[in-house]
Amino acid sequence: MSYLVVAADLRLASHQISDLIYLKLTGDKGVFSTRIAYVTKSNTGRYNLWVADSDGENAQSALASPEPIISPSWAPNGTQLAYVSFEARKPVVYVHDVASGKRRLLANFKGSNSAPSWSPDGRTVAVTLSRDGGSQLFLLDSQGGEPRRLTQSVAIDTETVFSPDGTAIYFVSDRGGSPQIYRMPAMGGPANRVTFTGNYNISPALSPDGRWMAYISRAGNAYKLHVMDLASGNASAITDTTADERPSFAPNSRLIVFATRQEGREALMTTTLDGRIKARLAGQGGDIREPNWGPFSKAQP
Amino acid sequence: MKKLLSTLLFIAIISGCSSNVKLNDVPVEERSGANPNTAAASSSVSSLDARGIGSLNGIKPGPTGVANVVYFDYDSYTVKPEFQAVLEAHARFIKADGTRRANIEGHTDERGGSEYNLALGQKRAEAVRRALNALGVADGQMEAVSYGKEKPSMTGNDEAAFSKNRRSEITYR
Repeated sequence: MSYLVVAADLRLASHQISDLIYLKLTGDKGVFSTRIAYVTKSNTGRYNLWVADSDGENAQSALASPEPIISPSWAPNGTQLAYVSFEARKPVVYVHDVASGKRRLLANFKGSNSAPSWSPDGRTVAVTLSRDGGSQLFLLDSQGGEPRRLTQSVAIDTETVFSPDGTAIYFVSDRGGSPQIYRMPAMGGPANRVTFTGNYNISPALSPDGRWMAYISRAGNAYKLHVMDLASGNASAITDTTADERPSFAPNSRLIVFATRQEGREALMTTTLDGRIKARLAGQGGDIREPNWGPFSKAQP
Repeated sequence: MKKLLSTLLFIAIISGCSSNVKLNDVPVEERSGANPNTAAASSSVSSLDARGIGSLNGIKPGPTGVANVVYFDYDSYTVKPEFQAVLEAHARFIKADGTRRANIEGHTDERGGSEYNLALGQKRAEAVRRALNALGVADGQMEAVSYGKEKPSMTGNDEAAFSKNRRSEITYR
């Protein structure tokens, strides 16, 4: 197992991450055998969706396309990956069976289809659709079919994520005038605002243990990863980079992978929740973005 | 050939309830060898075969000599009056032929997250769609979609580039 690190002094940090995981998970599966999905864009404008080990090694391309790919989202069973592809010259949601490489359309309604996220039982996929105008939240059976509309606002509602117990959905809405994160019952109902600091809070991710929410908050021109303690509502910025995007928790809730820019290039980083230990992932050449951390493998003992 | 014809027939039959944009046979490579699965048999649009039909990637010419881009101010989705003549030309073009299908693509500059920018781009596309609608173009001849920040027309980290990326483009299928 090896990590590619940016500077020599992070080598020790990488081992510390390993030790931390091992200590916290004695007897449990570690995250070394989990996988992440991410997207690369080559200098020639070619996009690839990759499935790799959680340290970035052993990447296999699931999709190659001349058009963008965004928002890969692992199904809870780890065998399927939903994502948004622009190969039809509009955003369309696919579900990809990772082992066989077979894929099927999940959402190709009139307008844009995006932001897929899975319920914890794997039976429902929330998506953002503009079929009725605007960008609104819908629920789809994971096998496809007619969507059920979940929000009825004239604002932008997007970027859903289910709570780990499946009872709530967190999402981004600018119904209050600027993008903030809200929570609503998963079956529909009134939404409560969750973020109150700053005027731009997006890309929520929830730790599987139910304790934390990671998100991106803009301050000035900087887009920075924050972690909120859901019980208290207190949040901290945990990076010193200024172009952070799309955080995703490891299944043991101890690490976050996110996209950012370092030295002018796109990079994927993992960090502990307090931001003290970070590592840059080994990856493919070209720009790299849109990470999503897969679940524990069910096949493990 | 027979399979292509029956696929074409299938697509033609269900195209009435589908998105206006066909999923053309773009050179997307599927790894792990297997063919893409068709979705569960249902009459909704999600049952379209991912590969769709082979065609020329579907781009047709628009009105000659007319620009096909509308630019927007920062944080704005309002179509500025200076683009009225462009929209009128496109409206005439679309109305002249009932088979024409306008694809309106909304875009944003590169700042911010992909999904939220996708939704912002959608607002820009829909602003142009509403403007064309007000000029008499039927809904069935237009589709508003978004690329968000994924396809900037100009790279760069300054307002000169940003202003060229905040746009809606009108193409024809």
